[in-house]
Amino acid sequence: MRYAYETLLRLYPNSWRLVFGQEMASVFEQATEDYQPRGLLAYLTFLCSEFNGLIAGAFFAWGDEYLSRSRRRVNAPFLVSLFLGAAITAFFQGNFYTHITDHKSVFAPAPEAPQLTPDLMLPLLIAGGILLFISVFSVAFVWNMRIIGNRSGRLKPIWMPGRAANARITRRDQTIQRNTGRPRREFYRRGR
Amino acid sequence: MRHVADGNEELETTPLTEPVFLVLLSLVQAPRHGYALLKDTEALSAGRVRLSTGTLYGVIHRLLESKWIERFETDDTSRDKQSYRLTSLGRRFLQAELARMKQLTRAATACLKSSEA
Repeated sequence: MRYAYETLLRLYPNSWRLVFGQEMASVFEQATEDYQPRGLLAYLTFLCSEFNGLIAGAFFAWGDEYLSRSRRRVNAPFLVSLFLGAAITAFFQGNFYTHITDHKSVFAPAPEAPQLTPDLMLPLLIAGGILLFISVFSVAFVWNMRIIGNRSGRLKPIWMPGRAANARITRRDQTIQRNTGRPRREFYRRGR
Repeated sequence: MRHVADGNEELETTPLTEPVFLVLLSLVQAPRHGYALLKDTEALSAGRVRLSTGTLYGVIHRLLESKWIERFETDDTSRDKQSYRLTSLGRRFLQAELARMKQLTRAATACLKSSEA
């Protein structure tokens, strides 16, 4: 039964299993020894409760992990810039598209520019939209970071992948050290 | 990971859940390891609350992050036992929760008395 339990423990995030995995399995084993002599019904009820608790616990552990990450990655400046970029692009592109279709020239070359064929116009329209979005997003993001980012400790820049990864690793190591009382390297050396 | 100050602020304003309260209460008496906590919470609730290991370690994880409890190694390493003890911060929050519950009990008793009278 411990094997089944340890298999289900794989549902938990890695950082969690490193700290609590062995201990949880050990406590489960002790509880199993306690419940086995109480009869089949008590034992099955116990197993159901354990596996339910394990799955629910894994769900919450992932939720916690996701939330703690997303607080650093998806932040207000990013979302505001995304919205602004999308809104402004949609406004200009929409206007442009409507203007062309109103003059029924989107599928036909304009008299003043016969080289702009419909085959060329559509990719240009899409490329223009993408460029406009990136430009608006970048400007808004830098602007928002200056205004909002300085006012909250939680709002950190997202475009620093190396720094974010390092910070994440450091945080995980600190968690392991805090919860086990040993540095991470020593933790591994002892085969836990 | 949740910021410690944020976690404490959150827990300070939110009433403790029953598993959290029982685990803290169990650790007031003495440091305990996981299995002892399971048994003690069951005993403290007169058999009403039986925590699964998933729930118990969810609570322990949260309390460790908030620094309400701390982990230390015991001499008995035969079964991967890690013991937990209450920190002074955890004791303070437990006392605050008890005061809140006492106040609620007093208010409820007063309401019941006035409705009976």
